[in-house]
Amino acid sequence: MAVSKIVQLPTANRARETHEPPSIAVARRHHATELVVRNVSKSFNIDRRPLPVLQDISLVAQPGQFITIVGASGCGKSTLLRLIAGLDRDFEGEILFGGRPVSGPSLDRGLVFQDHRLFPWLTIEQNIASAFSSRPIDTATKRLLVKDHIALVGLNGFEKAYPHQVSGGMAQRAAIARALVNEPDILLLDEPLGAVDALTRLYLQEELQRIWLQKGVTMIMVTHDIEEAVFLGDQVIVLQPRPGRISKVIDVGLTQPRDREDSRILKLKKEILGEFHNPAPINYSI
Amino acid sequence: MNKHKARFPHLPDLRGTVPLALIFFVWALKGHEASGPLFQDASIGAVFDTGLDLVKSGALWENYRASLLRVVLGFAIGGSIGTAIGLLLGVSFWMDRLFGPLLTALRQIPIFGLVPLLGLWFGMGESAKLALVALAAFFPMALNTYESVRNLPTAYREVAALYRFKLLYRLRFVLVPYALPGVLTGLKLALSFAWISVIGAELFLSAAPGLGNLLEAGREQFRIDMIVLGILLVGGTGWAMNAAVTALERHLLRWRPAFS
Repeated sequence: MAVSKIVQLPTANRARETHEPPSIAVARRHHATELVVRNVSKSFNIDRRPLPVLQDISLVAQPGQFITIVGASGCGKSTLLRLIAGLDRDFEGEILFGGRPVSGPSLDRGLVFQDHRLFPWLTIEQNIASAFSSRPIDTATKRLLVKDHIALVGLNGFEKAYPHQVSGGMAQRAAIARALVNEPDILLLDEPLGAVDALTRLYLQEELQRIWLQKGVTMIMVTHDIEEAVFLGDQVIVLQPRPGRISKVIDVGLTQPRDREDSRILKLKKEILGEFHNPAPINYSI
Repeated sequence: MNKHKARFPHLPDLRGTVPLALIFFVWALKGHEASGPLFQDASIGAVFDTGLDLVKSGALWENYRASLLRVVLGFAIGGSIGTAIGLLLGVSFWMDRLFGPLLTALRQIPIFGLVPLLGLWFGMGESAKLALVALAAFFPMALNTYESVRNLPTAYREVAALYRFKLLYRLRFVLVPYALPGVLTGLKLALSFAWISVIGAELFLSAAPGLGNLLEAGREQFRIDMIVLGILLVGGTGWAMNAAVTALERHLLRWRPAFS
């Protein structure tokens, strides 16, 4: 009975409930969830002088696609995600989601920050539940959704724990559950694994891949880890810094899940690394 | 939380009572002799007897109750107005710009320096005393609330914006819990200031039942035992109020690592 209730939700995760393979789940998602970023530029005012951080960025994320953006620190990766999330509306160019310009945050676009940003005074469970405080859903459904997503990120048994009582990796998983609990069409990840240790990182990469396959949600992940970018992305976008601009777009063209030791993965890693050793000429005039 | 707790998990930490016990020990031994170091002519027994007499005659309770009533009322008025004003100035940029400087200027004035002015406005009776206590509670409450509310990190504001928290939810689940530690510090200070100013008001303004009155009577009659009794009551009550707020803090802030 409870399960049927979930299925009736317009944004509910049908892929998991009916055990459809992810490809079908992707096709079922409404076509109007395509993200288009067109000629986006952004500058900050530092000491009353404009400092360009993003220059002429264009990209398209098809529904269900996993895009990774890789670049050194200072290339404006986080800024780009904040623009897509709608947290910053001061930019030139166009960002369209489902054909409509992005004018502010929306529950259709989830964002996971590098620091987990859970509220320390709420338990893991309450933190996840806070994400749908503004939606009119009945309590029973809310409880089920929270339970589902705690299971999805493997945090069973830690529902009542406070964020300081769990490890950094677990807190980040709770943050991912919070971002997913509204069943957004697109999930933006801002170096979500940047603050966890190397071993946890490898594990969470695979977890992230599993969640992506299970949910069929579009993901755009920003990282400075080339292997991570190639291992997870359908498409890898390489950004060069100061100002942040796209220097290369690579379609990986391998099915997921992947083997880290696959020779094609290693070759792509080398190719991207070369991109950083021989960067395009930098405009020093700014 | 500390070594003591780790070593003796079931024993209350009584280390704070050691200095107090020492003072009482010296007092019992030598403190009451004519040339003694502490309270001339007032032995522990004498103070205890005086206390008993005053309890029997009902005078102690009458005075104590009057002071307690003043601190509760004055704190309720000043504390609630202070919290409201601090919240308003903390969340509203315009209010902060308009009234912030005025608040900063007013807080520089020593509270007892206002006694003549308050006397002029409220007379020398009960309302002047309450006004003084309310003012004493107002400033620490307003300033601590203001500071804590204003410092809400952008990180939390962004999460609230991202999930489109409604105003009430934002207040209840983001702003209030974030500001609570600072507000509780303000509460501790405000209660302590209010209690001090109750005794001050009773000493400075017209005579009426109260612990200040007890102290004043002791001074007039050279009754050191009465003064010592008054001091013990004032200090003990202050300690008890502080302990109550600390217990409240422990409960409300149990999500903080230091308290769990």
